[in-house]
Amino acid sequence: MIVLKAMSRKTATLTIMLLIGLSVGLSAQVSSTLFNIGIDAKVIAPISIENTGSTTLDFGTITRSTSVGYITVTPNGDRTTTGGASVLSSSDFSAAPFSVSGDADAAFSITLPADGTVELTRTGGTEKMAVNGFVHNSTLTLSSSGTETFSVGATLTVGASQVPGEYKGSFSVTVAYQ
Amino acid sequence: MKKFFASALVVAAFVAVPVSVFAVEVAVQTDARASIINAIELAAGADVLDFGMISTSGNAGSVTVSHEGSRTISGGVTTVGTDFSPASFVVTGQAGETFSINLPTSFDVTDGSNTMEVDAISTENLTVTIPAAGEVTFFVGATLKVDANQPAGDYIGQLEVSVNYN
Repeated sequence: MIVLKAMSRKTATLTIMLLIGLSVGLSAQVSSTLFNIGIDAKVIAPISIENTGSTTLDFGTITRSTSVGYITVTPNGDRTTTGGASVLSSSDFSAAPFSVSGDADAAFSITLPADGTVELTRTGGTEKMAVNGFVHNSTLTLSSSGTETFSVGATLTVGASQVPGEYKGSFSVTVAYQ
Repeated sequence: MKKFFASALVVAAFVAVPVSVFAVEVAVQTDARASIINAIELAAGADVLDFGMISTSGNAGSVTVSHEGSRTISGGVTTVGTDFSPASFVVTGQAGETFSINLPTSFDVTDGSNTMEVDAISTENLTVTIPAAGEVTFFVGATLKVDANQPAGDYIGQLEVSVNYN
């Protein structure tokens, strides 16, 4: 303290910072308890997510109608229709499958697109269809081996007399540790 | 005293590490898709299924009008005149899509209380692909079974056909 008083204010600040840095280094060697906290942090694997295979959220082939229709693909892989449009029962469809990996038994959260944020656009055109009501079927807990698979479904709105064509879009799924 | 402060700072530093790891979130982007196609529609074409004029006898017989447009007879019937036709139907829908034609196995034609059965109802292909124009015509033929001494009359019935996308 006596030393600091003798210095200018700027110099004093610098000196204090140096002292802190030095103290941290010293303490790490002294305190084993504190050091263990650091080790806990390193053990946690970063969480990661990937779209399994090349399967997308696929509503299949839909017959348009003069009234609005809704096609829902559930995470469990069912497809239902309400309103005007109907699906070709022979057409392939799928929920989007994902796999998450990370720390064993860790809880995590899934963030799906909010309603009104995802649209499919006609290839070669500008016509759009909204995709809303995203849902997943995850347990939100990684297994003892640090993995979890789940699927995401949603509801497609097919407009009255929707222009025929191939419609495509994309959406993001975010996972984070709880 | 100096040691106390130093320890407190270290705690702050290390606690911050796991917090930052837990806060990490990762996202993956995935495609979504759907195909929209025109609805399929079925309309009666220019021609109805017409067996034409037939003369009966004491023996049963049959008249067949094929979907290709020919008329043949067997048994105790003879044909009169040349007017006859297979039924024609027009389908509109999405080019490139295939559809199925659903035909009944039989139906009756009647004149008052008198009846004849029509069966062997056929068309060229029960599964058809819609051409680029988005429209296709198909023809349906059948066989009329005429009883011995079938009463004369004008016999009418309904051939019900449906189509659906495959």
